[in-house]
Amino acid sequence: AEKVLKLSHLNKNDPFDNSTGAMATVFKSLVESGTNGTVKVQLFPSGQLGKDAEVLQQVKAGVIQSGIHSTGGFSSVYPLIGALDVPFAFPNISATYKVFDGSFGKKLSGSIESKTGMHVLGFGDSGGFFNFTNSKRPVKTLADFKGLKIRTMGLETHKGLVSSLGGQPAGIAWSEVYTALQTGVADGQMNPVPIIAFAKFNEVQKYLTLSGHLFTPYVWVMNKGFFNGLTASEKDVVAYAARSAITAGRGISRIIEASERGLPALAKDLEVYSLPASEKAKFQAAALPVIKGVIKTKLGAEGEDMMNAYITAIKDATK
Amino acid sequence: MIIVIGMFFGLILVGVPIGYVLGIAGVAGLVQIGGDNFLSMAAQRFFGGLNLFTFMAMPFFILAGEIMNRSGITGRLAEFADALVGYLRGGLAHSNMVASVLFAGMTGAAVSDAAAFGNTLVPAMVKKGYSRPFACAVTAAGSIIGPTIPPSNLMVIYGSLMGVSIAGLFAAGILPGLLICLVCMAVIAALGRHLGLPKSEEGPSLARILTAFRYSFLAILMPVIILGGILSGVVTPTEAAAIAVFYALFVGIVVYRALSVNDIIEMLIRTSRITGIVFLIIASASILGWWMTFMQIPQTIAAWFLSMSDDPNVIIALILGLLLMVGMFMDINAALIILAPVLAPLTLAIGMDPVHAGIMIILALNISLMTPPVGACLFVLSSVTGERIERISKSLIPFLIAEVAILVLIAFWSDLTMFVPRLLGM
Amino acid sequence: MVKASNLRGTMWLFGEKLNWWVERVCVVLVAALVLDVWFGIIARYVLELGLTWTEELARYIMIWAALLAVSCAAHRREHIGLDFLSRLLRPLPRMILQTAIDFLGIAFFVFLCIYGVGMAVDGASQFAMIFGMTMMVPYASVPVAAGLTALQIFIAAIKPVVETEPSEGQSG
Ligand code: NA
Ligand code: NA
Repeated sequence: AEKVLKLSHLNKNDPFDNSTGAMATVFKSLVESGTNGTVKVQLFPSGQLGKDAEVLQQVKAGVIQSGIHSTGGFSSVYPLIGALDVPFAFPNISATYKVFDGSFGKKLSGSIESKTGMHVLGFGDSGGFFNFTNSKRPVKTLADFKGLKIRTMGLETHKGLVSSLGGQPAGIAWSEVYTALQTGVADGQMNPVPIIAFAKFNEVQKYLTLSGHLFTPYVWVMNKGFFNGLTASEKDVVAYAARSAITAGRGISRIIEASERGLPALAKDLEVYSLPASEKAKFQAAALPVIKGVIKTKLGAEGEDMMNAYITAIKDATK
Repeated sequence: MIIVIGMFFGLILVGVPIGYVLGIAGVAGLVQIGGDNFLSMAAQRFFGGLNLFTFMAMPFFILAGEIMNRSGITGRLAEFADALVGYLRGGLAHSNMVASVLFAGMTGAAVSDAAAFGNTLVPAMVKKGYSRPFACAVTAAGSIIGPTIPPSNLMVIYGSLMGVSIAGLFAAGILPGLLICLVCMAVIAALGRHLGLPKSEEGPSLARILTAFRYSFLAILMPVIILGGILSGVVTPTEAAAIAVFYALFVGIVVYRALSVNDIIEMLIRTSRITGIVFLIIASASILGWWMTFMQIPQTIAAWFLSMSDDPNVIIALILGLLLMVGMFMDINAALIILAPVLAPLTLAIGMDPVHAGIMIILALNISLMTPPVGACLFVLSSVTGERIERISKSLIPFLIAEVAILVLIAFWSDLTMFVPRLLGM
Repeated sequence: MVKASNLRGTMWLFGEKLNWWVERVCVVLVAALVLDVWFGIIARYVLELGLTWTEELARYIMIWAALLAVSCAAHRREHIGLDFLSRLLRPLPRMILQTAIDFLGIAFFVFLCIYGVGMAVDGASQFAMIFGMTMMVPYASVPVAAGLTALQIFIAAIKPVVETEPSEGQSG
């Protein structure tokens, strides 16, 4: 009989609009054509089926078959993902592809599979590096950051990062961030460029600092039982379809960044400043020891091991 | 699908509590899909449906209303309003509408507005001789002004989902929000004599207004403080509801010395019970809503509806008809996420500005919260006031007609919506 | 006043007592909710402490309080529905209808309780962002509240004194 693969992702289905939209549509097209329709892919965009952490449970339970998740949501079943929150770890975006497609990606997938019982299809691009925006002042040096109220998720590593740089982390529900930034409940926030553009934060912020302080991939998982129930050739198709989809997601992220809808659009409303390497080093000096400490205490030896493997992989990738 | 929908209406009509019906119909849908893992979705959605910070404004506004009532703040506010406009027939009903406009700056959701006013102005109006169903109807009608004038939760969702300027939507909501207020006041004025709305004997007098102003000064200060808290960036709109609780408690305990510990315990019990009644409905609706999403029912119905015609006018009418029903089956935040990507491209294709289309879609969804027999604003009002849904619905009919007429006007006359955004150069 | 001379009377008194306690728990929870949100505002605006847990904690307290209160409202038969049909009926058919409605309600909440236990157990391996807490703590609100509600609907259904007439515009 025909197998139905229900895939949940976080944004609109439009492949030209965002990276998960591109991943999902490319995957659907390749799987359906590659299996001659023995596997049908049905897409659930925009987190329609629930919060990220809840949809993960649906994948685990086999209610749906696959999901593309943010690291924030994924930390609910796999807290070790926090080990990726090493600040200012990557010198450039190209290195992220190598790290997550290479041996580190395999190690991480293996760990996820053994801890959560879900099959990992790969790690997608969530829109590049995290950057800071704020409404108070241009942040060009570490001193400029001092005292800024920055909205973050409740993740210890994100909070720790903001406070280690001298800012004040503020917990505000995602649904209220726009209004909170507009009225000044928080001075700023941190997110990748496509998300800043998508959430329209450029309307309520003045300064964008391209700090590139974090990289958080999308984690793409599949229900193990479903994956094991595929024929060998279907498994092959799913694997290459996912790889291509991830490549497409990366591509559209870079295109959005470069096009009318990314940085050029943000630059109309925001004063954009890119932190030079020398200044980044100062930011990193302030944040890295603190975050390493957080990862050690919160995630234990396993977390530390994963973090060290990550740092080594990044070094190797940029040699 | 037919079974689930039949069950839904059947159970509602025989009088099963709505909070049970939504859950039972949802579970029936899950049973139909089959499998233990699907049944377990009922518990997940029941919890997940409530797991949203913005819902918190509701219990806080209910509690603030309780405190305001018992400490006399509501009474004093009503006295002031009575001194200002009581000599007009239906004066308090008019001031309820105007208050909704002022309150709009403090809330982003219609249900918060219904909770706050249902618990304060409805009893105050009843005290002055209004019938309770009518007072509830006025409050329900006014509650959609809150999410039309910024800030607005739905506008934030729509803007980020569809790539439309949120600032533009906020600006575009202002005129329609004011128009709803004016038209509803016209309805009150037109029905006033027919319904025998109260009118005080005393004429307007500056002395009386000044006395009432002094007497109710701290009460009048309350909205100023809350709005100030939001605009100056101290609190988010949801947190502002907690500030309302703080201020009401402060005035009630320290200044008016009107509250005992027992009063406070009773108010907290009543707040949790009303919240429980409303939240059961939200939680159960989330089960049914998930089933509908999983089966892709809203999209299927929308596609079927919209395949019926190419005529732009008919398409708009069909979109509005669809949206006005949605509030019966699911939470409108969830509905917006599912339907906006289906409907917005159509509005674009027939040449509507995205901001204009967004305002139309959002207003229609908000009105669906009070179309009988099923709608969250009706339930909130019914549970805070104890009035029956049937009677509120009946009193609501003229307002509902007026608001649907405004919706149609907004849909077909884009300048009404686009005037302010254009003025601001957006 | 209800006499506790038979089983139904005893059950009813038990239901009253249980409800009294659940209401007190709700009082504590709602008070905690208010204090949590106030503290969050003060911590951010005045003390500048940089906390992010108050928002998440508030959600969980709110859900616990509201769901527990579902049983209180069931105890008092306050859950709202359309009652025009039962108003048209004579006492006997009305009683039968009411019993059928109660039965449906009990079935739904027992179902929710059973699957809620499963969810709470699964929650032990899911983590909230605050305090390293597992999701079992918030998830447990569903089975506990559903169980209490089923019980209170049952107790209200067998309440000894015939008092099931829907009252005109009741309020608490
Ligand atoms: Na508003
Ligand atoms: Na409705």
